[in-house]
Amino acid sequence: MSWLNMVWGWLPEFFNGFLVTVTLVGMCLPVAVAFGMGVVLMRLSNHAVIWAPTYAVIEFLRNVPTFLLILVVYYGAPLLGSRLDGIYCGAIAIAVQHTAYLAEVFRGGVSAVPRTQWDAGRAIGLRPAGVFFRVVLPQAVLKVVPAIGNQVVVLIKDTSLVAGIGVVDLTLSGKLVMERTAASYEVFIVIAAFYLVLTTLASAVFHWLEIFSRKRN
Amino acid sequence: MDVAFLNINYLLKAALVTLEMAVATVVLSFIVGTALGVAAALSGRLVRSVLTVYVYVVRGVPVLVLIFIAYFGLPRLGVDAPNYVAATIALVIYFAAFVADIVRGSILAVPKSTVEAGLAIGLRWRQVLMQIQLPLGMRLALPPLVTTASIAVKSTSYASIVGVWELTYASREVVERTLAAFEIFFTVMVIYFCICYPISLCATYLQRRYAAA
Amino acid sequence: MNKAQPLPTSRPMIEVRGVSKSFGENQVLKSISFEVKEGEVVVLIGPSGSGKSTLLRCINYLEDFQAGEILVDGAAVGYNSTAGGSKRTKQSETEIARLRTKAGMVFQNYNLFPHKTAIQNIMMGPVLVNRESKAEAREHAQALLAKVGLADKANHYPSQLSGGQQQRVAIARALAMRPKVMLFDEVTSALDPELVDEVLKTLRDLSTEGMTMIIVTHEMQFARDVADRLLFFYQGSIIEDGPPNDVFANPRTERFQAFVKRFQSAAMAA
Repeated sequence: MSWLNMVWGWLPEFFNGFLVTVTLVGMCLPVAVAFGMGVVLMRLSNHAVIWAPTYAVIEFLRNVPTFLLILVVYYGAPLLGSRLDGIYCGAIAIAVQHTAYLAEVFRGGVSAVPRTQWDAGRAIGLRPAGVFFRVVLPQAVLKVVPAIGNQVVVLIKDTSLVAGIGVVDLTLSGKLVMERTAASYEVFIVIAAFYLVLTTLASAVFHWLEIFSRKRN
Repeated sequence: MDVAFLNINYLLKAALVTLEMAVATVVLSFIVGTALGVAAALSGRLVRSVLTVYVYVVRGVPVLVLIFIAYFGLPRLGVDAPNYVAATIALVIYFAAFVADIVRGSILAVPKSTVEAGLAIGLRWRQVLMQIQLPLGMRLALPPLVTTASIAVKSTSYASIVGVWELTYASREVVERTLAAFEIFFTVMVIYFCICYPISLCATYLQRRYAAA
Repeated sequence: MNKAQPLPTSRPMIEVRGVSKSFGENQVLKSISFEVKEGEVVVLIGPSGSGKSTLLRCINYLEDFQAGEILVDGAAVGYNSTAGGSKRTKQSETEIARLRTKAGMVFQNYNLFPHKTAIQNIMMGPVLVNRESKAEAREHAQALLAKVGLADKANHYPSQLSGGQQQRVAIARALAMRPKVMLFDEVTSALDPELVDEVLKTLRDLSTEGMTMIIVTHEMQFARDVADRLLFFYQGSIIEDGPPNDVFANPRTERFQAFVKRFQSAAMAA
């Protein structure tokens, strides 16, 4: 079927775009998770000096469009003297926003642990920090795995926005192929399929992680 | 920040366009999504499976790709629509799936015991649906639906990538003209925040009032 | 105990014949048979899982049963048997709904409709099923609320009422359909101790008015006071059946003896 041959011809370009997308995910995800954990600790602090500004920044970042953040970095970086490639602009913006999203997810996990667990921890003699890291946190992590899985899927999809600043990721590679050949929207159906594979894989990994961590408990 | 004030009228006009798009998206996707969700809650395996596939596909594909499909696909199908129509159609298709999933889940989440109480006083299934499952289900659905609305508002910014003139597009224009990236973008972010934050506060309030115990 | 004496009728109000039910492999009802006369108060007691609640829920067909017949006021519930008895056809939704109006049920967790006020909860059945006018239904509902001692709570939502109050509204809601028999499924088990008495009082009042009642409960003292007959369920069968004083004084089975002993020592400890 010539249609299949046509798609086959597109694959090399798609693959390059796919690599860019995967690179973005690989850069943003660990950073967002790591910093998210740090930020949530600040958010949970008992000192208003710490949690109030943290809360403000988190809420601000959560209520602005991702693409706008990307544009801020893209147009702002040159003004600060750096000549960042588009891909790094996107990476910074996505990492920052998802740090905020994940901090909220983590906070939700911590607040879902019943108060009684805190009391139990104190009752056996642990100090507050000890209670947090040894009793509450492991349980919070367990509850939060599915929500993190959802956020990862959102992150994967958000990487497509770098197409708007000219970074040739999976999405933009589709547009280029489309402009080069006679094909049209069909290209994007194939692109959509690629994304589906990626997000399905990510969901499956987290599904497995959830089952695994349940068993360990 | 003078740059921002000089251009504020231009930006606010664009914000209005964003709002129009957001309202159209939310209203249409909620109507379609609620209809689909109710149908799926009531129907047999076939309709439910169709909905599951639809939600799965939409969940796994970026909105931007859907916008491109609509933007490049509509002319191919013979429809000569302006870019914002294509973008809105894509957004509606995207968010209707989430709305349908939420509505379906909420109707089924109404406690069985409350449904049984209705049956016990002699109500027929259609009456149970209309008097108990739908009202209580929609209450449960309200918090996640409001959150979805907030996400929909933010996603209107992606339409700028296919050339739709709305707030994000306008801000890019101004920045390229004035080079005052931080001032302009900060102002625009504040505008988006002012639209979305109240919505998310609404969602938190509704969550406290109506969420499942 | 003084009770209004009903006119003697030849037909029992409730007939349960050979009812068996299994959940998968687990048989929870083993060919249960008994009758309840009009105006009788029958209390079902027994350990958890013995099948008493399940049987109650079969009577208004909230649970399906695989074998046997149940008749409420002469009408078959759930299935129509052809003459000869061996063939059963499942009833239509309309028939089942209509039969449910003859048996009012009150649940352990009240199950009031949270989005309606107390009086609206009570009016729902009469308006939607009996097609009464809203005015008629409201008047009747107000009277029922007064009867259970909650006349001033008509416009309160369930969330604004205590457990005991909610349960009394639930009783009024069931009574609004003018049922022939009232089914009570552990109606005080979810209540704080101080709220139990107000509900038991309502049940006592109903029994003196001649309502046919089947009560599943753990409240032994109440059971002894109110019941005309006690049925002891054990692992899906009825192993004791008789007036409370007889049954407690002369238990026929060891199991019930053990059950009685546990109850008496618990009562002593209280």
